[in-house]
Amino acid sequence: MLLAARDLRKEFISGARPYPAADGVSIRVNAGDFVAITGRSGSGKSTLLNMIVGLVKPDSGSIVFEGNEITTMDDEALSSLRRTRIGYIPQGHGAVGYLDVKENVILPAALQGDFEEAANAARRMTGLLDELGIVHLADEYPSRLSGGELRRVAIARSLISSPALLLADEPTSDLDRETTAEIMNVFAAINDNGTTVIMVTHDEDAASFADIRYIMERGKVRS
Amino acid sequence: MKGTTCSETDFDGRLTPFGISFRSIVYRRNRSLLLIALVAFTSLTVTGGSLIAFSIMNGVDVAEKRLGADVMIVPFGTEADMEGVLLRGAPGTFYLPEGIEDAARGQEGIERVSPQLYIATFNSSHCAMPVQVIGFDPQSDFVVGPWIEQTIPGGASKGEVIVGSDINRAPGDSFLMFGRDYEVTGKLDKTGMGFDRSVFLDSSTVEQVIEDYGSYEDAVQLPDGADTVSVLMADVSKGQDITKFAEDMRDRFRSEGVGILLPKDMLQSMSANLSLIFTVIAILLIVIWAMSLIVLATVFTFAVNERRGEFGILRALGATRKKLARVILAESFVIGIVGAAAGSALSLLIVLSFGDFIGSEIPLSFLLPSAGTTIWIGVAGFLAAFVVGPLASIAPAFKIGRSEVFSVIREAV
Repeated sequence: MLLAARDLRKEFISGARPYPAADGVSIRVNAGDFVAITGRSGSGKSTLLNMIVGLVKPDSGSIVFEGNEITTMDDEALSSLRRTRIGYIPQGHGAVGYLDVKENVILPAALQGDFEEAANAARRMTGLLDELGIVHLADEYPSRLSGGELRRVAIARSLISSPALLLADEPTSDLDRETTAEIMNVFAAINDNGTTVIMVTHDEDAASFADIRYIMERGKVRS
Repeated sequence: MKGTTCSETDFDGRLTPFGISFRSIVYRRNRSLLLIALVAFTSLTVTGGSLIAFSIMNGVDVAEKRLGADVMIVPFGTEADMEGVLLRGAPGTFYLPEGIEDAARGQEGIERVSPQLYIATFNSSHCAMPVQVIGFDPQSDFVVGPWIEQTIPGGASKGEVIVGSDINRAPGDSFLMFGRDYEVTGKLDKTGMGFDRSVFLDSSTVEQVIEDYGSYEDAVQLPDGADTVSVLMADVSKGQDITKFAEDMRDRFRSEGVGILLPKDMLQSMSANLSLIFTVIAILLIVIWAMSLIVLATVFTFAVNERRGEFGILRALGATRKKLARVILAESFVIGIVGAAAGSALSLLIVLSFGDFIGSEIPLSFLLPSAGTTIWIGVAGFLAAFVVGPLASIAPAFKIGRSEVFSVIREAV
């Protein structure tokens, strides 16, 4: 078992009204799984993903990743986890505008503060960009890239530290069908190489690439 | 995954918080230049204002040392001229009535007296330049004599002159006065006073100068019954109340056309004016500093808010709160250091290059401090301006670190 989330609860306040983004959510993910979490907007799927990556603290419940409880980790430990063991692709293109592609991709490794590790990551990066078909864009800035290219950059960045788990939040939103298929093939290839993937999407075509699907509705999950 | 030709990049992966900040500064170059200019302005005004204030204080300090007499006895009505000669280097010619020197020497409470002669040279071909000629008696002098002896041992002999620091002559040069050349035997250190634009000669040379001077139509002729003395420098006996003594002297000599000047009062009134000037300068500098801090803090707060999405991405990729704060602080640090260094350097350059001009425009003694003090003022001005950047960004830096990443990440570009 790579990841086990149990009875997660998270309530947000919208205006004066509370609404449950997670209402007793439990999921289990094994190493090598390709999981899609689908549901309508506001169903709580992104909240679940962000709780797993430690960006949102649940009100209650437990998330165990590689045998470690995430919900009780401090900022230092959670940040280290995101830099090394969990690759994260946020919504949107998520690129830093004043860094070129290679600098954007190297960011998680560079944020480690370990120059040797960053140098190793830089060596891996070339191969990674090559595999994703964007090595020729290494010196370009995000403003000059297309949506599909930006998504590939975000994928390369999420893989730079060779994580055990890759989390993707709506990775194909605002992409056309052809580009969506290309990106999903990339995810499938990553999963084939042994990396566990959890993807949040409301796109049925994209979700069809996954082996396991959870559907969220009003903060509750059903498989 | 798609396969393409693999090519190596020479990127070594080094990307520190400082490097990230530097990229951001370069990327937003207009905003960065504006902030740098603001810090530079703060540094320029703080350093320049402090340097000018220090120069005035230094000038007054040196004036106190150079005007080392308790009392100056001058012709009645020339007190303001005398101040002009001593403090601003406005040349003047005046003579004391005959017999005052002997009368002063006989006055009870006087410890020592030394005469000096003040003559202004002409702005004509007969003189090198318009300066103040100060003749003194080396036997009795206790004001300029010791200072000259300290700087130029042996002083000036007959036919020789010593020049102030602002006079463009070096030892060995000749100096033309009233149609006659005199050899320059020494040059004095800068005082920030009228002495810098004066020529000093001892009593053995005075006779010749006064004779030549008197032969010109433009000369202020020695009135009948006047001595070849312009001012008497006097020290009173120990324990004597100088103010009371001066009042007694005024009463005693008023009818003989003599006025009394107290260097202490002259400097005190200058100091009183200075206190007001320094207070105004200090308030202005504090206001400018505070305004810079407010403007920078506002700009940084807006900038950090505008970049919430970007900071959310950094947090999501594994930047700790501390590291994120470091990225923001590093940016303000770079802006602060570049702006403050530029402002301080420019300020030192301006004040050092135009120090003489500034001194001539300020109606007070003005003397740039020593190189060491000047460097310290530059460093202090630099630090005062530099801290504005980091101080202004502390609050937004820590605020963004505490923000819910999930909410800010949705704002990412």
